Amino acid sequence: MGEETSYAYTVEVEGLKKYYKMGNTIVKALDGINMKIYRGEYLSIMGPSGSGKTTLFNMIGGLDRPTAGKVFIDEVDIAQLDAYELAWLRARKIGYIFQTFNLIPVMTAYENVVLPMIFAGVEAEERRRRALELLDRVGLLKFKDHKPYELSGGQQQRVAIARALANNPAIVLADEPTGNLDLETGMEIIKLLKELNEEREVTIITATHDIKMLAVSDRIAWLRDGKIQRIERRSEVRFKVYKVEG
Amino acid sequence: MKKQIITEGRIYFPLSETLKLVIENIMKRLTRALLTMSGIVLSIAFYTTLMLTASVLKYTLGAQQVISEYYWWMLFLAFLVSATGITNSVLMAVAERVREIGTLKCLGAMDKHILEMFILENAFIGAIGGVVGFIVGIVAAIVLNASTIGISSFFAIPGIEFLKALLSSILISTILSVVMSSYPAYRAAKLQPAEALRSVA
Repeated sequence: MGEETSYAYTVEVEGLKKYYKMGNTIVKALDGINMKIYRGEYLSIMGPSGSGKTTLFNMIGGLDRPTAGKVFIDEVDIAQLDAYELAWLRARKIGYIFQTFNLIPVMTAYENVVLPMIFAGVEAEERRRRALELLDRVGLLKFKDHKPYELSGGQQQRVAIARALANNPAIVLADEPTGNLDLETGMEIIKLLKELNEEREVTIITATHDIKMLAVSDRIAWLRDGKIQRIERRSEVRFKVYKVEG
Repeated sequence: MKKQIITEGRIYFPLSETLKLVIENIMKRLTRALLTMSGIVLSIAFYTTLMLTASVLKYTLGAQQVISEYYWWMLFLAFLVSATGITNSVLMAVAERVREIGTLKCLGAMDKHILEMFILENAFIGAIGGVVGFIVGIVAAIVLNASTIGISSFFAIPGIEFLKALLSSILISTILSVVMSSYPAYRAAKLQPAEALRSVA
Protein backbone atom coordinates (compact mmCIF):
# COMPACT_ATOMS: atom_id res chain seq x y z
CA MET A 1 0.00 0.00 0.00
CA GLY A 2 1.09 3.51 -0.82
CA GLU A 3 4.31 2.70 -2.63
CA GLU A 4 5.98 5.87 -3.71
CA THR A 5 5.31 5.86 -7.41
CA SER A 6 4.69 9.25 -8.91
CA TYR A 7 1.40 9.38 -7.00
CA ALA A 8 0.16 7.47 -4.00
CA TYR A 9 -3.53 7.74 -4.80
CA THR A 10 -5.03 5.92 -7.72
CA VAL A 11 -8.52 7.34 -7.24
CA GLU A 12 -9.44 10.73 -5.85
CA VAL A 13 -13.01 11.88 -5.46
CA GLU A 14 -13.76 15.54 -4.79
CA GLY A 15 -17.14 16.97 -3.81
CA LEU A 16 -18.95 14.36 -5.86
CA LYS A 17 -22.69 14.84 -6.22
CA LYS A 18 -25.28 12.98 -8.21
CA TYR A 19 -28.88 14.12 -8.14
CA TYR A 20 -31.74 12.42 -9.89
CA LYS A 21 -35.03 14.09 -10.62
CA MET A 22 -37.95 11.86 -9.74
CA GLY A 23 -41.08 13.75 -10.65
CA ASN A 24 -41.01 16.90 -8.54
CA THR A 25 -38.53 15.70 -5.96
CA ILE A 26 -34.77 15.63 -6.31
CA VAL A 27 -33.12 12.46 -5.04
CA LYS A 28 -29.61 13.02 -3.81
CA ALA A 29 -27.97 9.69 -4.59
CA LEU A 30 -24.56 11.13 -3.78
CA ASP A 31 -24.27 14.31 -1.78
CA GLY A 32 -20.71 15.55 -1.57
CA ILE A 33 -18.34 12.60 -1.48
CA ASN A 34 -14.63 13.16 -0.79
CA MET A 35 -12.24 10.26 -0.66
CA LYS A 36 -8.77 9.19 -1.67
CA ILE A 37 -7.95 5.62 -2.48
CA TYR A 38 -4.38 4.38 -2.22
CA ARG A 39 -2.68 2.44 -4.96
CA GLY A 40 -2.94 -1.26 -4.21
CA GLU A 41 -5.37 -1.05 -1.33
CA TYR A 42 -8.52 -3.08 -0.79
CA LEU A 43 -11.29 -0.65 -0.01
CA SER A 44 -14.88 -1.55 0.72
CA ILE A 45 -17.70 0.91 0.39
CA MET A 46 -20.25 -0.34 2.89
CA GLY A 47 -23.80 0.80 3.17
CA PRO A 48 -27.40 -0.37 3.10
CA SER A 49 -29.22 -0.60 -0.22
CA GLY A 50 -30.18 2.81 -1.47
CA SER A 51 -27.20 4.45 0.20
CA GLY A 52 -25.62 5.32 -3.14
CA LYS A 53 -23.03 2.54 -3.40
CA THR A 54 -23.79 1.61 -6.97
CA THR A 55 -23.98 5.26 -8.01
CA LEU A 56 -20.53 5.83 -6.50
CA PHE A 57 -19.29 2.67 -8.23
CA ASN A 58 -20.56 4.00 -11.56
CA MET A 59 -18.94 7.40 -11.02
CA ILE A 60 -15.52 5.99 -10.12
CA GLY A 61 -15.77 3.59 -13.05
CA GLY A 62 -16.51 6.29 -15.57
CA LEU A 63 -19.88 4.74 -16.35
CA ASP A 64 -21.96 7.75 -15.43
CA ARG A 65 -21.50 11.51 -15.25
CA PRO A 66 -21.74 13.36 -11.93
CA THR A 67 -24.04 16.33 -11.30
CA ALA A 68 -21.11 18.10 -9.63
CA GLY A 69 -17.64 17.28 -8.38
CA LYS A 70 -14.76 15.40 -9.84
CA VAL A 71 -13.27 11.94 -10.07
CA PHE A 72 -9.56 11.61 -10.75
CA ILE A 73 -8.04 8.32 -11.89
CA ASP A 74 -4.26 8.50 -11.71
CA GLU A 75 -4.58 12.28 -11.50
CA VAL A 76 -6.67 12.57 -14.65
CA ASP A 77 -10.09 14.17 -14.32
CA ILE A 78 -12.26 11.60 -16.08
CA ALA A 79 -14.97 14.15 -16.91
CA GLN A 80 -12.47 15.64 -19.38
CA LEU A 81 -12.04 12.42 -21.35
CA ASP A 82 -13.49 12.01 -24.84
CA ALA A 83 -15.30 8.85 -25.95
CA TYR A 84 -12.12 7.15 -27.15
CA GLU A 85 -10.17 7.90 -23.97
CA LEU A 86 -13.11 6.75 -21.86
CA ALA A 87 -13.26 3.45 -23.76
CA TRP A 88 -9.53 3.06 -23.23
CA LEU A 89 -9.96 3.74 -19.50
CA ARG A 90 -12.72 1.13 -19.22
CA ALA A 91 -10.81 -1.44 -21.22
CA ARG A 92 -7.35 -1.11 -19.71
CA LYS A 93 -7.36 0.84 -16.49
CA ILE A 94 -10.42 -0.58 -14.78
CA GLY A 95 -11.81 -4.09 -14.45
CA TYR A 96 -15.48 -4.43 -13.53
CA ILE A 97 -17.18 -7.14 -11.53
CA PHE A 98 -20.94 -7.16 -11.06
CA GLN A 99 -23.45 -8.72 -8.75
CA THR A 100 -25.12 -10.43 -11.69
CA PHE A 101 -21.80 -11.55 -13.27
CA ASN A 102 -22.79 -10.11 -16.67
CA LEU A 103 -20.92 -12.59 -18.81
CA ILE A 104 -21.73 -12.46 -22.51
CA PRO A 105 -24.21 -15.35 -22.82
CA VAL A 106 -23.26 -16.44 -26.35
CA MET A 107 -19.57 -16.79 -25.46
CA THR A 108 -17.66 -19.50 -23.62
CA ALA A 109 -15.75 -18.80 -20.41
CA TYR A 110 -12.54 -18.58 -22.44
CA GLU A 111 -14.05 -16.20 -25.00
CA ASN A 112 -15.43 -14.00 -22.23
CA VAL A 113 -11.95 -13.61 -20.76
CA VAL A 114 -10.44 -12.95 -24.20
CA LEU A 115 -12.99 -10.27 -25.14
CA PRO A 116 -11.55 -7.28 -23.24
CA MET A 117 -8.11 -8.12 -24.66
CA ILE A 118 -9.52 -7.91 -28.17
CA PHE A 119 -10.78 -4.41 -27.41
CA ALA A 120 -7.37 -3.52 -26.04
CA GLY A 121 -5.62 -4.77 -29.17
CA VAL A 122 -3.62 -7.55 -27.49
CA GLU A 123 -1.98 -9.98 -29.95
CA ALA A 124 -3.80 -13.29 -30.49
CA GLU A 125 -1.07 -15.47 -29.02
CA GLU A 126 -0.70 -13.28 -25.95
CA ARG A 127 -4.50 -13.23 -25.53
CA ARG A 128 -4.54 -17.00 -25.47
CA ARG A 129 -1.70 -17.27 -23.01
CA ARG A 130 -3.14 -14.72 -20.60
CA ALA A 131 -6.70 -16.07 -20.78
CA LEU A 132 -5.58 -19.62 -20.02
CA GLU A 133 -3.33 -18.43 -17.21
CA LEU A 134 -6.16 -16.42 -15.64
CA LEU A 135 -8.69 -19.22 -15.97
CA ASP A 136 -6.18 -21.52 -14.35
CA ARG A 137 -5.62 -19.00 -11.56
CA VAL A 138 -9.34 -18.81 -10.74
CA GLY A 139 -9.53 -22.61 -10.93
CA LEU A 140 -11.70 -22.92 -14.02
CA LEU A 141 -9.32 -24.14 -16.69
CA LYS A 142 -11.28 -27.31 -17.31
CA PHE A 143 -14.49 -25.28 -17.71
CA LYS A 144 -13.00 -22.98 -20.31
CA ASP A 145 -15.28 -24.14 -23.11
CA HIS A 146 -18.46 -23.91 -21.07
CA LYS A 147 -21.05 -21.28 -21.76
CA PRO A 148 -22.19 -19.13 -18.80
CA TYR A 149 -25.50 -20.98 -18.38
CA GLU A 150 -23.54 -24.21 -17.90
CA LEU A 151 -21.69 -22.75 -14.92
CA SER A 152 -22.77 -22.19 -11.31
CA GLY A 153 -23.03 -18.68 -9.89
CA GLY A 154 -19.68 -18.95 -8.15
CA GLN A 155 -18.02 -20.25 -11.30
CA GLN A 156 -19.54 -17.44 -13.37
CA GLN A 157 -18.20 -14.91 -10.91
CA ARG A 158 -14.74 -16.49 -11.18
CA VAL A 159 -14.89 -16.09 -14.95
CA ALA A 160 -15.96 -12.48 -14.42
CA ILE A 161 -12.97 -11.93 -12.11
CA ALA A 162 -10.62 -13.43 -14.71
CA ARG A 163 -12.18 -11.19 -17.33
CA ALA A 164 -11.82 -8.12 -15.11
CA LEU A 165 -8.08 -8.83 -14.74
CA ALA A 166 -7.43 -9.63 -18.40
CA ASN A 167 -5.86 -6.30 -19.32
CA ASN A 168 -3.90 -5.98 -16.05
CA PRO A 169 -6.00 -3.05 -14.83
CA ALA A 170 -4.81 -0.72 -12.08
CA ILE A 171 -8.20 -0.87 -10.41
CA VAL A 172 -10.83 -3.57 -10.05
CA LEU A 173 -14.29 -2.28 -9.22
CA ALA A 174 -16.69 -4.82 -7.79
CA ASP A 175 -20.36 -3.99 -7.24
CA GLU A 176 -21.87 -6.44 -4.74
CA PRO A 177 -19.69 -9.28 -6.03
CA THR A 178 -21.15 -11.70 -3.47
CA GLY A 179 -24.73 -10.45 -3.66
CA ASN A 180 -26.04 -13.39 -5.68
CA LEU A 181 -23.93 -16.08 -4.02
CA ASP A 182 -24.45 -18.31 -1.00
CA LEU A 183 -22.38 -17.82 2.12
CA GLU A 184 -19.61 -20.28 1.34
CA THR A 185 -19.24 -19.39 -2.34
CA GLY A 186 -19.28 -15.73 -1.36
CA MET A 187 -16.45 -16.34 1.07
CA GLU A 188 -14.42 -18.08 -1.65
CA ILE A 189 -14.90 -15.16 -4.01
CA ILE A 190 -13.86 -12.68 -1.32
CA LYS A 191 -10.76 -14.78 -0.58
CA LEU A 192 -9.90 -14.91 -4.28
CA LEU A 193 -10.26 -11.14 -4.62
CA LYS A 194 -7.98 -10.60 -1.63
CA GLU A 195 -5.35 -13.00 -2.99
CA LEU A 196 -5.38 -11.27 -6.36
CA ASN A 197 -5.16 -7.90 -4.62
CA GLU A 198 -1.95 -9.03 -2.93
CA GLU A 199 -0.44 -11.00 -5.82
CA ARG A 200 -1.02 -8.39 -8.50
CA GLU A 201 -0.99 -5.26 -6.37
CA VAL A 202 -4.22 -4.25 -8.03
CA THR A 203 -6.41 -1.75 -6.21
CA ILE A 204 -9.74 -3.33 -5.35
CA ILE A 205 -12.79 -1.25 -4.61
CA THR A 206 -15.95 -3.07 -3.68
CA ALA A 207 -19.40 -1.66 -3.07
CA THR A 208 -21.12 -4.07 -0.73
CA HIS A 209 -23.23 -4.69 2.31
CA ASP A 210 -21.67 -8.08 2.88
CA ILE A 211 -20.10 -8.05 6.35
CA LYS A 212 -17.77 -10.89 5.29
CA MET A 213 -15.94 -8.30 3.21
CA LEU A 214 -14.73 -6.53 6.38
CA ALA A 215 -12.23 -9.28 7.09
CA VAL A 216 -10.17 -8.62 3.95
CA SER A 217 -10.56 -4.85 3.49
CA ASP A 218 -7.69 -2.51 4.28
CA ARG A 219 -10.15 0.31 4.77
CA ILE A 220 -13.90 0.61 4.91
CA ALA A 221 -15.90 3.65 3.83
CA TRP A 222 -19.31 3.75 5.46
CA LEU A 223 -21.88 5.27 3.14
CA ARG A 224 -25.30 6.42 4.19
CA ASP A 225 -27.82 8.57 2.32
CA GLY A 226 -25.26 9.60 -0.25
CA LYS A 227 -22.70 10.76 2.29
CA ILE A 228 -19.61 9.12 3.68
CA GLN A 229 -20.04 8.86 7.42
CA ARG A 230 -16.49 7.75 8.13
CA ILE A 231 -13.57 5.91 6.59
CA GLU A 232 -11.83 3.47 8.88
CA ARG A 233 -8.99 1.02 8.80
CA ARG A 234 -9.89 -2.58 9.47
CA SER A 235 -8.46 -2.58 12.96
CA GLU A 236 -10.70 0.30 13.96
CA VAL A 237 -13.80 -1.34 12.57
CA ARG A 238 -13.77 -4.51 14.64
CA PHE A 239 -13.95 -2.49 17.77
CA LYS A 240 -16.91 -0.43 16.67
CA VAL A 241 -18.87 -3.32 15.26
CA TYR A 242 -18.33 -5.16 18.50
CA LYS A 243 -19.52 -2.16 20.47
CA VAL A 244 -22.63 -1.76 18.36
CA GLU A 245 -23.52 -5.39 18.75
CA GLY A 246 -22.84 -5.36 22.47
CA MET B 1 -1.27 20.95 -19.74
CA LYS B 2 -3.95 18.31 -19.60
CA LYS B 3 -2.66 15.05 -18.23
CA GLN B 4 -3.14 12.12 -20.57
CA ILE B 5 -4.87 8.96 -19.45
CA ILE B 6 -3.72 6.89 -22.40
CA THR B 7 -0.25 5.60 -21.75
CA GLU B 8 -0.06 2.80 -24.30
CA GLY B 9 -2.07 0.79 -26.78
CA ARG B 10 -5.32 1.63 -28.45
CA ILE B 11 -8.95 0.61 -28.58
CA TYR B 12 -10.34 -1.26 -31.48
CA PHE B 13 -12.64 -4.08 -32.39
CA PRO B 14 -11.72 -5.74 -35.69
CA LEU B 15 -14.49 -6.57 -38.14
CA SER B 16 -13.61 -10.27 -37.99
CA GLU B 17 -14.39 -10.30 -34.25
CA THR B 18 -17.63 -8.39 -34.78
CA LEU B 19 -18.60 -10.95 -37.43
CA LYS B 20 -17.88 -13.83 -35.08
CA LEU B 21 -19.98 -12.27 -32.35
CA VAL B 22 -22.77 -11.47 -34.80
CA ILE B 23 -22.97 -15.02 -36.12
CA GLU B 24 -22.94 -16.47 -32.60
CA ASN B 25 -25.69 -14.05 -31.64
CA ILE B 26 -27.86 -15.12 -34.57
CA MET B 27 -27.30 -18.81 -33.87
CA LYS B 28 -27.91 -18.48 -30.16
CA ARG B 29 -31.02 -16.36 -30.53
CA LEU B 30 -32.39 -18.14 -33.56
CA THR B 31 -36.04 -17.67 -32.64
CA ARG B 32 -35.62 -13.93 -32.46
CA ALA B 33 -33.72 -13.90 -35.77
CA LEU B 34 -36.36 -16.06 -37.48
CA LEU B 35 -39.09 -13.76 -36.17
CA THR B 36 -37.35 -10.72 -37.63
CA MET B 37 -36.78 -12.68 -40.81
CA SER B 38 -40.35 -13.88 -41.29
CA GLY B 39 -41.68 -10.50 -42.43
CA ILE B 40 -38.83 -10.14 -44.88
CA VAL B 41 -39.32 -13.66 -46.23
CA LEU B 42 -43.03 -13.05 -46.89
CA SER B 43 -42.59 -9.73 -48.66
CA ILE B 44 -39.67 -11.01 -50.74
CA ALA B 45 -41.66 -14.15 -51.62
CA PHE B 46 -44.46 -11.95 -52.87
CA TYR B 47 -41.98 -9.88 -54.85
CA THR B 48 -40.39 -12.97 -56.42
CA THR B 49 -43.76 -14.47 -57.32
CA LEU B 50 -44.77 -11.28 -59.09
CA MET B 51 -41.47 -11.02 -60.96
CA LEU B 52 -41.48 -14.63 -62.10
CA THR B 53 -45.11 -14.57 -63.16
CA ALA B 54 -44.33 -11.49 -65.18
CA SER B 55 -41.34 -13.27 -66.74
CA VAL B 56 -43.37 -16.34 -67.64
CA LEU B 57 -46.00 -14.24 -69.32
CA LYS B 58 -43.36 -12.24 -71.11
CA TYR B 59 -41.52 -15.24 -72.50
CA THR B 60 -44.52 -17.43 -73.31
CA LEU B 61 -47.06 -14.87 -74.46
CA GLY B 62 -44.76 -11.99 -75.30
CA ALA B 63 -46.71 -9.72 -72.94
CA GLN B 64 -44.94 -6.52 -71.93
CA GLN B 65 -46.99 -4.83 -69.19
CA VAL B 66 -48.42 -7.74 -67.24
CA ILE B 67 -48.34 -6.55 -63.65
CA SER B 68 -51.18 -4.20 -62.97
CA GLU B 69 -50.84 -1.14 -60.81
CA TYR B 70 -52.92 -2.88 -58.20
CA TYR B 71 -50.20 -5.47 -57.61
CA TRP B 72 -47.51 -2.84 -57.34
CA TRP B 73 -49.50 -1.24 -54.52
CA MET B 74 -49.88 -4.61 -52.85
CA LEU B 75 -46.15 -5.11 -53.10
CA PHE B 76 -45.50 -1.67 -51.69
CA LEU B 77 -47.77 -2.44 -48.73
CA ALA B 78 -46.06 -5.79 -48.17
CA PHE B 79 -42.70 -4.06 -47.96
CA LEU B 80 -44.13 -1.40 -45.66
CA VAL B 81 -45.50 -4.00 -43.24
CA SER B 82 -42.27 -5.94 -43.37
CA ALA B 83 -40.25 -2.77 -42.74
CA THR B 84 -42.15 -1.74 -39.62
CA GLY B 85 -41.95 -5.35 -38.45
CA ILE B 86 -38.16 -5.25 -38.68
CA THR B 87 -37.88 -2.06 -36.65
CA ASN B 88 -40.21 -3.43 -34.02
CA SER B 89 -38.38 -6.72 -33.81
CA VAL B 90 -34.94 -5.14 -33.56
CA LEU B 91 -36.17 -2.74 -30.87
CA MET B 92 -37.21 -5.82 -28.89
CA ALA B 93 -33.86 -7.47 -29.52
CA VAL B 94 -32.07 -4.37 -28.22
CA ALA B 95 -34.27 -4.26 -25.13
CA GLU B 96 -33.44 -7.90 -24.40
CA ARG B 97 -29.75 -7.22 -24.66
CA VAL B 98 -29.47 -3.91 -22.83
CA ARG B 99 -27.38 -5.37 -20.02
CA GLU B 100 -25.10 -7.11 -22.49
CA ILE B 101 -24.56 -3.81 -24.31
CA GLY B 102 -23.71 -2.16 -20.99
CA THR B 103 -21.20 -4.91 -20.26
CA LEU B 104 -19.57 -4.57 -23.66
CA LYS B 105 -19.17 -0.86 -23.02
CA CYS B 106 -17.50 -1.60 -19.69
CA LEU B 107 -15.03 -3.83 -21.52
CA GLY B 108 -14.08 -1.02 -23.87
CA ALA B 109 -16.66 -1.09 -26.67
CA MET B 110 -17.37 2.27 -28.22
CA ASP B 111 -20.69 3.43 -29.66
CA LYS B 112 -19.59 2.61 -33.19
CA HIS B 113 -18.75 -0.99 -32.25
CA ILE B 114 -22.26 -1.57 -30.88
CA LEU B 115 -23.78 0.12 -33.93
CA GLU B 116 -21.66 -2.03 -36.25
CA MET B 117 -22.69 -5.17 -34.41
CA PHE B 118 -26.43 -4.58 -34.72
CA ILE B 119 -26.26 -3.32 -38.31
CA LEU B 120 -24.19 -6.32 -39.42
CA GLU B 121 -26.46 -8.72 -37.60
CA ASN B 122 -29.47 -7.34 -39.41
CA ALA B 123 -27.71 -7.20 -42.75
CA PHE B 124 -27.17 -10.95 -42.35
CA ILE B 125 -30.74 -11.59 -41.29
CA GLY B 126 -31.92 -9.49 -44.25
CA ALA B 127 -29.72 -11.29 -46.76
CA ILE B 128 -30.72 -14.74 -45.55
CA GLY B 129 -34.35 -13.62 -45.49
CA GLY B 130 -33.93 -12.53 -49.10
CA VAL B 131 -32.66 -15.96 -50.18
CA VAL B 132 -35.36 -17.85 -48.28
CA GLY B 133 -38.02 -15.45 -49.57
CA PHE B 134 -36.78 -16.04 -53.10
CA ILE B 135 -37.12 -19.81 -52.76
CA VAL B 136 -40.58 -19.52 -51.19
CA GLY B 137 -41.50 -17.10 -53.98
CA ILE B 138 -40.51 -19.55 -56.73
CA VAL B 139 -42.53 -22.32 -55.13
CA ALA B 140 -45.49 -20.01 -54.71
CA ALA B 141 -45.26 -18.81 -58.32
CA ILE B 142 -45.23 -22.37 -59.63
CA VAL B 143 -48.08 -23.54 -57.41
CA LEU B 144 -50.23 -20.48 -58.10
CA ASN B 145 -49.71 -20.58 -61.85
CA ALA B 146 -49.63 -24.34 -62.40
CA SER B 147 -53.31 -24.56 -63.31
CA THR B 148 -53.38 -21.50 -65.55
CA ILE B 149 -50.07 -21.25 -67.37
CA GLY B 150 -48.67 -24.70 -66.61
CA ILE B 151 -45.45 -25.67 -64.93
CA SER B 152 -43.60 -26.26 -68.17
CA SER B 153 -43.80 -22.59 -69.08
CA PHE B 154 -41.44 -21.82 -66.22
CA PHE B 155 -38.72 -23.61 -68.17
CA ALA B 156 -39.11 -20.96 -70.84
CA ILE B 157 -37.65 -18.35 -68.49
CA PRO B 158 -33.96 -17.85 -69.17
CA GLY B 159 -31.63 -18.47 -66.21
CA ILE B 160 -30.54 -14.88 -66.22
CA GLU B 161 -34.06 -13.83 -65.17
CA PHE B 162 -33.86 -16.09 -62.12
CA LEU B 163 -30.47 -14.70 -61.27
CA LYS B 164 -31.78 -11.15 -61.61
CA ALA B 165 -34.72 -11.97 -59.34
CA LEU B 166 -32.43 -13.61 -56.78
CA LEU B 167 -29.94 -10.76 -56.68
CA SER B 168 -32.63 -8.09 -56.49
CA SER B 169 -34.34 -10.04 -53.70
CA ILE B 170 -31.15 -10.14 -51.65
CA LEU B 171 -30.38 -6.51 -52.37
CA ILE B 172 -33.84 -5.27 -51.44
CA SER B 173 -34.09 -7.37 -48.28
CA THR B 174 -30.60 -6.42 -47.07
CA ILE B 175 -31.11 -2.71 -47.66
CA LEU B 176 -34.57 -2.84 -46.11
CA SER B 177 -33.22 -4.65 -43.07
CA VAL B 178 -30.23 -2.36 -42.58
CA VAL B 179 -32.24 0.84 -43.05
CA MET B 180 -35.05 -0.25 -40.74
CA SER B 181 -32.73 -1.51 -38.02
CA SER B 182 -30.52 1.57 -38.02
CA TYR B 183 -32.73 3.48 -35.59
CA PRO B 184 -32.85 0.71 -32.95
CA ALA B 185 -29.13 0.07 -33.50
CA TYR B 186 -28.39 3.76 -32.97
CA ARG B 187 -30.39 3.71 -29.75
CA ALA B 188 -28.45 0.67 -28.57
CA ALA B 189 -25.15 2.36 -29.35
CA LYS B 190 -26.09 5.51 -27.43
CA LEU B 191 -27.04 3.65 -24.26
CA GLN B 192 -25.22 4.94 -21.18
CA PRO B 193 -23.43 2.01 -19.53
CA ALA B 194 -24.64 2.90 -16.03
CA GLU B 195 -28.21 3.03 -17.24
CA ALA B 196 -27.82 -0.15 -19.26
CA LEU B 197 -26.44 -2.08 -16.30
CA ARG B 198 -29.34 -1.00 -14.11
CA SER B 199 -31.75 -2.78 -16.40
CA VAL B 200 -33.24 -5.97 -15.02
CA ALA B 201 -33.97 -7.53 -18.41
